[in-house]
Amino acid sequence: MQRKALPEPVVHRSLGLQALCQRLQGVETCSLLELGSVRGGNVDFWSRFSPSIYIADLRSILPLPASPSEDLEFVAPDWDSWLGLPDGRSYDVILAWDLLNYLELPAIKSLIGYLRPFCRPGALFFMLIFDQKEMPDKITVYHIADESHLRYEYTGPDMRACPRHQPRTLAGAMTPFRVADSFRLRNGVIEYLFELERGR
Amino acid sequence: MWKKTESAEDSRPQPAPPPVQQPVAPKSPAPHVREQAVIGSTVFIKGDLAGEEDLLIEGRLEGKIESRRHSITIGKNGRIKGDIYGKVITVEGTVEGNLFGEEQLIVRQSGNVRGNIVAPRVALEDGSNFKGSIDMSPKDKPTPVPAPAPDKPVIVKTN
Repeated sequence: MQRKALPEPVVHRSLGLQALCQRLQGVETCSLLELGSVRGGNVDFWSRFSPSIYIADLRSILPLPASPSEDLEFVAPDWDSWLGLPDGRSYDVILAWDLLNYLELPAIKSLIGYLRPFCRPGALFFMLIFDQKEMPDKITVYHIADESHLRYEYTGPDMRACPRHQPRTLAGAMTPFRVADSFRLRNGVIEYLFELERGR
Repeated sequence: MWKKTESAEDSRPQPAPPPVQQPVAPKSPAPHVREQAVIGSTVFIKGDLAGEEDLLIEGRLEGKIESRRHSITIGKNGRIKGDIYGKVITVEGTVEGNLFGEEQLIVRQSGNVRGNIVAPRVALEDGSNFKGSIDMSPKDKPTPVPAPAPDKPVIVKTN
């Protein structure tokens, strides 16, 4: 059997990250929820905002097993035990990277419903959505190179079909967050910055 | 060809320059050797540990570790279940508990931490394993440590 080579890490422009950093300019401190795994360089990058960061690392449980039949009713994942968010803490920024590509729309909806009480008014939600036929089979690791560049570190050579969440359906699943910014990049990724509507 | 014209004054024999007095370097004190206590890999402690010197722990400990003015290193074999308070904390082994670094906290590639980190500077090496929260906000800094007691009594001059 021939082993596929792991694709080399590539640096891509990130207008979404740039927009997020611009939003954070001037803040003295902020609270971040990292749904991906810990990366030292990223923690170092965020340190300029004197943050508190909670690392939830959803990568270890995604992708969720696909529903064996369309007739079965969706059962919400046990986010509480998977994320283990501490009580009494709330977040200004949620970093989801590409994780939502590995969730079906009902699961995204239930995740947002679970996260909502942990969000501060105006909380920002940053994510990358693949808009190609295929996407990496395993979740990619993103290293922040600078305020407007990300280094994609692929963790496996295989590809899988991409759900290609459409903007309108994605926006529906993200309610009560609304799209604050979106950027279609040349590498087939759409970066979204959602914002929690104040008063919701 | 060319010859520098020397004045009469220049041609007079010059008195020998006085020997240059080399500044005598003050005797440097003996190099300061940092004291470090080592808890070996075969040691298992159940209870709290406090000290006034740097600590290297390679063994197992269940309890609180406190050495707020000194460095604490959890070596590759170290297994800690409990909170750690130190100046600079380095984790190469496994910690299940909260870490409070007065200055810095480092989780090396081999490090595995389940708990919360509170430190103004945090370095997590890629490959390290961490789940919990990192708090670098100044307002949530650990309580300042009182200044160490001076070694010698302070003399106050009065007129």
